[in-house]
Amino acid sequence: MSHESQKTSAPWPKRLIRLAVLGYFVLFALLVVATGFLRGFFTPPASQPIAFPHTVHADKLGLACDFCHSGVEQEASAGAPALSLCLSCHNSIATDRPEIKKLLEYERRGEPVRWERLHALPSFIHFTHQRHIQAKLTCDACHGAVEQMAEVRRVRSLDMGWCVSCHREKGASRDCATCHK
Amino acid sequence: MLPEIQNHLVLLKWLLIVLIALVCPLLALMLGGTTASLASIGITRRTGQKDSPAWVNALLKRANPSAQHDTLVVLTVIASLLLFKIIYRPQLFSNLAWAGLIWMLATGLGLMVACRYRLTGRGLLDRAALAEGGIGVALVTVSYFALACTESLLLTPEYWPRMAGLPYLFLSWHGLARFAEFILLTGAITGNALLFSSPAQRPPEADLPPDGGAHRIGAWLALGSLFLWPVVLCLDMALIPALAASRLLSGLAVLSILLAASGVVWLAMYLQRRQGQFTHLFIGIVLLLFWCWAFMGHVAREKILIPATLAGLAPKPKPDTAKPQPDAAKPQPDAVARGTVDGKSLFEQKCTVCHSFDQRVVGPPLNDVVPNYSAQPAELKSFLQNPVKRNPDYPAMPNLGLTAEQAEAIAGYLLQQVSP
Repeated sequence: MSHESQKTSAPWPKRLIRLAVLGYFVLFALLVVATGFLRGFFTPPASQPIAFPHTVHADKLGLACDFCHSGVEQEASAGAPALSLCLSCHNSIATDRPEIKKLLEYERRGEPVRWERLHALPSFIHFTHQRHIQAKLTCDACHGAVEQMAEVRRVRSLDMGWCVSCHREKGASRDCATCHK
Repeated sequence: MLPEIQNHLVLLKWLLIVLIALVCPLLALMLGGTTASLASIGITRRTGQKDSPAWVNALLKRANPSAQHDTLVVLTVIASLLLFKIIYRPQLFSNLAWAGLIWMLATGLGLMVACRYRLTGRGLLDRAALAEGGIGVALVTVSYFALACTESLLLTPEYWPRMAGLPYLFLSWHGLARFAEFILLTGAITGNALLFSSPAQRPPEADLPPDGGAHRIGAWLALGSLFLWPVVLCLDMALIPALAASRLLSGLAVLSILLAASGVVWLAMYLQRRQGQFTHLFIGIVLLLFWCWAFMGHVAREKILIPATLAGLAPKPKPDTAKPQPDAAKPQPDAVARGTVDGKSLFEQKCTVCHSFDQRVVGPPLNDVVPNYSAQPAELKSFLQNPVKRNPDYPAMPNLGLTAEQAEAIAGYLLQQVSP
């Protein structure tokens, strides 16, 4: 009897080892997926309420960046254009297109367009566009070739190492208080 | 010549993937096979034995078959590096840095092959040959570490123009993780070579032969490498720049863990039964793991290195130039043909969306406003370059960033059109 029970219980350690090995690989597979979720690999890029084509406005028409982002030279934030600026042209241009109809609908409802912010910095960072434009930095140094993007995406990490490397290269201040509030 | 080649980027990228998929397993086998053989010979010398096990000789021959094989690997590496420069960034590193890397790799591989010929020809305990092999292994390892860091650096294009001032960026944590992955893959492929390439091929039913434990060493080397794979891979995924990551990359990472798990299962079955069923299956798993890893690198590069990302990174000849002038760098076809700026084509491209000569569109009819400038063409040119709101009934005209030459051409065309 005892011999029989020994025979039946023998595979258990092996089964446990197999389960442990399986669990080990499954655990790491889950960890990879979790890392992806935590770092936003699975989050689709934020889509804008209106598909604004920079390829048309900045490339084909050649509008200067500060025509729409008027705060770029004088303020901390470059700013998104007011609805009225869009409508100054689009009250009469391409009014039959679906995206322009959306724009006109915003006007009818008296609502501002809530653009998704792609270049958000942490709240403890003090960044001003004004200082960077004054330092003769071109827009594409931080934003890439926006005029080539049908839908704008972030192309720089905006992390501290990146900022510091540029400050070092340009001889700008690297004092903590320059950027940190 | 370079811009012409860059017109075939998709083809070049596929060629690069194929070259990497070919060269990485070969390089790993050369490195791992030589290292394992040298380690075994070192142990043999320490224990006072006169001859190393026969499998060492076989492994050395398999890892470094010939000088021609070595030349082929070096040429493939050179071609891959050249493709990296053409596809992604010609000015990433100086030619001197690339040449130094290639020299180090070629010398290391050459020393490894020379060591193999001397050891297999004159006897396994030749001290000079051992030193030669050791230096070769060290050189190849260092050059691969540099290559892994370079590959990681590609994923942070924003640092490239600053490379000259920041050599320490060359060493990146993500590059270290990729290097560790390569070492683990080297362990897996060397273990595979030890398992199935030693002269100890024997019938399945036989016990382990007296092969100096090559099978056991190979099995444990491969097992250890595959077990450590998920750990290093997690580190890679945690360190990779977020802008280079994607769902596909995560999917490939999970796939590689599944491949490693299936390799472990196969090895466990092999060790338990001591027979080599479906030998090719394990070789296939290791090669698939290699290709999955190489493809992960490609997916990460493709996610981040789009032309729009690379714009603004090239060193600018005059850093104090003001805002970008999109059309200044893009002369019109007609203008190029005649060597002048064509006012008519510029007008059609830039102005007709808002202006017509005889009716209101967004702006006023040009026939009403342009004649005001008939006597002052310079003022019209100035207005085109720096428009200001004049009429409250119309929206402000945007600044189109016209150059002086373009503004002059458009002004000339407008005045010509409205003149009686």
